[in-house]
This record gives sequence, C-alpha cells and structure tokens, in this order.
Amino acid sequence: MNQSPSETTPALELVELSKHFGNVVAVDRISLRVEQGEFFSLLGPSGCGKSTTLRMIAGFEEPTSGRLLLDGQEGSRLPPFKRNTNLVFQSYALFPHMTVRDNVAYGPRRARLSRTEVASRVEDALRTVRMWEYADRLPKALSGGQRQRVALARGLVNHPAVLLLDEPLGALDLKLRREMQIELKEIQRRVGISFVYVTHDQEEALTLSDRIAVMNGGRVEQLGTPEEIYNRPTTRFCADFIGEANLIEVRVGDRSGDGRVSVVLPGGGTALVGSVSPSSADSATATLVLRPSRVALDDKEPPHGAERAAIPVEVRRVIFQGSVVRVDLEGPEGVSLSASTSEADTSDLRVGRRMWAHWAPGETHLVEPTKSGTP
Amino acid sequence: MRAMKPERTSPPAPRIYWTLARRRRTATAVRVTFLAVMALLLFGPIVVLAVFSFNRSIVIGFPFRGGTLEWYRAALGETAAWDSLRASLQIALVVTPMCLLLGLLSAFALSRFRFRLRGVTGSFILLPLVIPWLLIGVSGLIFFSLVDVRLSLWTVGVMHVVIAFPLVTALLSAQLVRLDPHIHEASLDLGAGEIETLRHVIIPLLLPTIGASAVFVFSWSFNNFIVSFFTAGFDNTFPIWVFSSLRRARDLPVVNALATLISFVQIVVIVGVWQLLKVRLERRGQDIRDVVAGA
Repeated sequence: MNQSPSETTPALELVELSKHFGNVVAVDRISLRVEQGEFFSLLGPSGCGKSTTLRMIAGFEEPTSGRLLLDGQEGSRLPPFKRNTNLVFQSYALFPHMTVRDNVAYGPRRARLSRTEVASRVEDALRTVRMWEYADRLPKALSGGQRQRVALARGLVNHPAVLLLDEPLGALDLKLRREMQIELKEIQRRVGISFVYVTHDQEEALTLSDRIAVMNGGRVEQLGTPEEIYNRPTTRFCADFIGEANLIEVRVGDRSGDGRVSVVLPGGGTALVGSVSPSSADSATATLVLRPSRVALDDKEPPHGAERAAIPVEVRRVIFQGSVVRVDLEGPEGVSLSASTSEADTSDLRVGRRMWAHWAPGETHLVEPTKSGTP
Repeated sequence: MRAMKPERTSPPAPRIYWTLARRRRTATAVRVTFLAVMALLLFGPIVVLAVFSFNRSIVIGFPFRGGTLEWYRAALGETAAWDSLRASLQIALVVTPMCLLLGLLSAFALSRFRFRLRGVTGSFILLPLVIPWLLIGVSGLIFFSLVDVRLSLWTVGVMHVVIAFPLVTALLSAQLVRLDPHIHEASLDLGAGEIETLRHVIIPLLLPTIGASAVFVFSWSFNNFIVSFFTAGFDNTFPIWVFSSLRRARDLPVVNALATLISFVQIVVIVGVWQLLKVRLERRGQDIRDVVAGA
C-alpha cells in the first residue's frame, strides 16, 4: 500500500506492532497507516486482537514491540493523558455525576483552555451531535442513543489526531444502530477527523469505512476499501467473514499466459475465474468464492463458455428471509451452495427439484484451499 | 397479589381463595408481631430510661413520682462529665478523618491493584472487624505498656482508628468495585493525570459513601467504651465517665439525664446528616440504600 509517496503525514501509522500477554500473542506484527480524515475500521471476530490494537493506540496497553506514530511522532510510550487520541467506549463511560456539558468540557478543561474557548468548543461539539438542548441533563436522564452521542462529542471536542471508537454502537438496538451509522459517517465527514473504528459487524464496517483492515488471529488478513474486501477477498477467512459466500473446493486447471485461470468444478465442468489471490498461487487445489447473490437458477443448462459457468444442482431448502429468499442447493460430489434471490414468487422452487446454478465467471475469486495458509 | 381480590361483578370466589386469604392474613399478623417484639426488646429499655430521666424519684423504677428537670439541672453542673464529653468529641473529630484517609488508601490498594499477597493483605486489614473489642482493648493495653507509651486520650485515638478504619475500607472498596473501570480510563484518555482523575472523578463519585462512612466512624468512636476503657489510662471519655458514675447510686439519675440528652443529640445529628446525603443523592438520581448496602 505504501509505494506512493504521500504528501501529508498519516494521522496514525503502526509499524510491526505486537502485543504479547504472557505466551499469548494478541497482536502479531501489524502494520497499517490511517490517513488524515479517513474512516478506518478494524474488523474481525472477538479475540482477533482488534480491541487490543485500539487500546495500544489509546495508550492503555503498552506494545511488546513495534512502533506507533501519531501525526508522525513516536507515541507508543506516552501515557493515555499525553496522547492526541480519544477513545469512545462501548459502555460510553460517561461521568455519572456530571451534566452533559461538564462531561464534554472535561477534556478542554484538562487542557487548560480559557473559559470562553471551553464554552464555545463544548457548544460546537454538542451541536454537531445534536445534543445541545440536553446540555444540562445528567447521563442518567438520557437514552442509550443520546448517551452515545454525548460520548462522541466528548471525544470530538478535543480535536484529536484520531478518534478511536470501540464498538460504539454495540449496545444499541438494530434500528437505532442503522440510524446512528449514517449519522456517525455524516459527522465524521463534517469534522474531518480520522476515525479508527473497531467492530465485529461486517455490515457496519462496509457501510461506514473508507478502508477496512480485516483481522484474524492477531494479524491483518486483508486491507482495502469495502469494495475490494467484498468483491476481491484475498483469503478464505475474509471471503467467509465478510458477507455470505459459497466456498467451493476446486482443482486448478489451466493457468494461461494472459493471467486468466480456469478451474475444474465439482462434476467435471470447467470455468474461468475472475481473480486469483496470491494465497492460492501455484497450488493444485483452491477455493472458489462465489457470492449467493450472484448465483442464478435455471431449468435448462445454460450455454457454457466465457459468459456463464454452471453446475447441476438439486434444491434442498428454501428459506424466506424477508427481502430475499435463500435457496440451499446440493451439487455434484455432495458440494453444497446457496443462492439468494429477491424475486417475489418462489413457489415453484420445490425441494428436490433439479436445476442449473450458473454465474458470471468474472464475479468469482480463487483463494487458498482448506487446511493451508492460516497457521 | 392485589389482582387476587375479587371484583364485585365476578362470580362467587371459589373456596380455595378464602383459604389463601386467611393464610395471608395469618402471615401478616405473625410478621407484625415479630417486628413489634423485636422493636420492644431493642428500643424499649432506651425509651424507659429516657422517660425515667424526668422522674422525681432517685430510684430508676416505678412508681413514677411526677416530672422534673432536676436531674438535667444537676447534669449541667457535672464538670467531669462535660470534660469527658469534650474529650470524646475531640477524639472522634481526629479519628474520623484519619479513618477516611486510611480507608480510602486501603480500599484503593485492594480494589484497583493486583499485587502479590493481596488476599492476605485484605483479610489482615479487615480483621479488626471480627476480633472482639474486648480482646483488642486488652491487647492495646499490653502493647502500649510493652513499648512504654503512657496511656492517654492519644492512645485511645490510635485504638479507635484501628477498629474503625476497616469499616471504611469495606464500604469504599465495595463501591470502587462497582465503579465501571472505563470511567477511570475515560478520564485518563481525556487528558487528566491520576491525581486529577482522583479529584474530579473518583472522589466525587465516592463522596456519598465517604459521607456515610464518616457517620459510622464518628459514632463508633464516640460511643466506644470497651477499647477506650483499657487504653485511656487516667483520662476519661464520655462512655468511661458514664461507667464509673454508675457505681455511685445517687448519681444515677444524673447519668441517666445526661445519657438521654447525648443520645438525643446524636440521633438528631445522624438523622440530619443522613437526610442531607439522601437529598443530595436523589438530586443525582441515586438511592442512598445502594451506597451503604452495596447491593
């Protein structure tokens, strides 16, 4: 990612940063940079090291090794109160004995800003999160979403180099979470502060982020824009964790000179693939990643070739999921895959019906086969 | 429960209902009787003494020979009593802040840090709460004579700190454990050092518990007899004065009057402080019972 020389210093740069707890390696030599004004997410399942990474950036954990640069300055040995970062906690951690105003003013007051400066900053921050009317309330008298906004304002008011958010929407219900996602993104764009956002919710990460680092086992599996991560997963883990994916074990056939690769599908058919990740290079078998939303179903065998790839399947289950219907299928050699369709009428999709599942080869990716790669 | 009450329009309640209702009435009667007996045993003697402090007779007992303030007038002239009272107040006023400080520090150590022998240290600090005060008093006496310290109000004060500060430790550490650790971290994150965090966040959040602890420690120290008795030497605290006066029968009504007066003042002060705490807490949306019970 760093071949292009950047004109501006990144807001945050991690270089080979590691954290060991005794024998457990929580974070394993991760390197990444967060640009000024970027919305950056650390995405991964619980225990993948994302929260530990965030706490190292905030200063609550000391890195075992590696470097941490804040606005270009080495910061890994600074205590939390001397860092130009602010953390929004999942539990909000508002001071219960202070009004909303005093909560937000806490940072500026510690920075010994003048009284008028504190007042104007607090007003700005509270207006940004639309909580100015509640300035004199105590946290007890606020709803979860409102507390969330106050916690956000309490961080923003300090104009940090990066604002760190630890699953900040985790305690909200689904509807409110969706609303807050949009608002959060809007606020971030307006204030132009870099956000580092920790979440295990892939949908949230895709919605909010400029770039995402997918973490697993203390390492970064893939780093890229939401489109790159979703459309061109580089590892099996990423493909499986982000969105839904059919993972089909295939034999690698031709690797032609022009870079196009064809694979042998279960049942013997061949198909071209859209892209090949480095993790599957030079191996005889690989995993084909195919999104259920890209799979179409048809009664007749579609014409093979460069445009369509297909395998014969039998319908196993039809599951109504609201806006889409998921169809679980079984193909040759016991391979199972699913297709999702938004078509209203699926009454003719009877269990046991034999059909053809087909897709555009350009929308598939090849990643490493099972039992390889991830140690 | 109230839903069980039959509405006027409903069909006649089945027999089972009446059985349940009778059972409930019996249970209520048992509860009320039990409470009444307990209250009588606990507070009866105190009330009787208070009443007899207004009795004209020198004998504390029936018959009641008419009201008088004679004993109260006599009590005002008892300089020894007032001296001892002043001593008790002085001790309590010195002991209370000492206990709060020690209690705060030890509660912090026990609840915020993980160190070797933490469990042992904790039990050691809380030990005075379970050792009989008689033993503590006697061992204090032996200790001070071993190290050759003359017994005085100072030694009493030291002993009071020993018995009372563990109570503060217990109350405060229960509260500290309940505090969200992220609140402490949030303060550091927002640019406050540890001292500033203590001043602006931790202490204000503990203030109600600190207040409640102060009330307890003050009254423990002020009312303690047995430990003071062994370690006061020739000095008198108020409870010691009361005890020594009991041996002279003709002073008894005076002692009684004075004790009633002091109890009354104590009750008024403690209830007052309690109400003050309660009002302040309610303004912050907290319940005083949480603060003390730690539930």
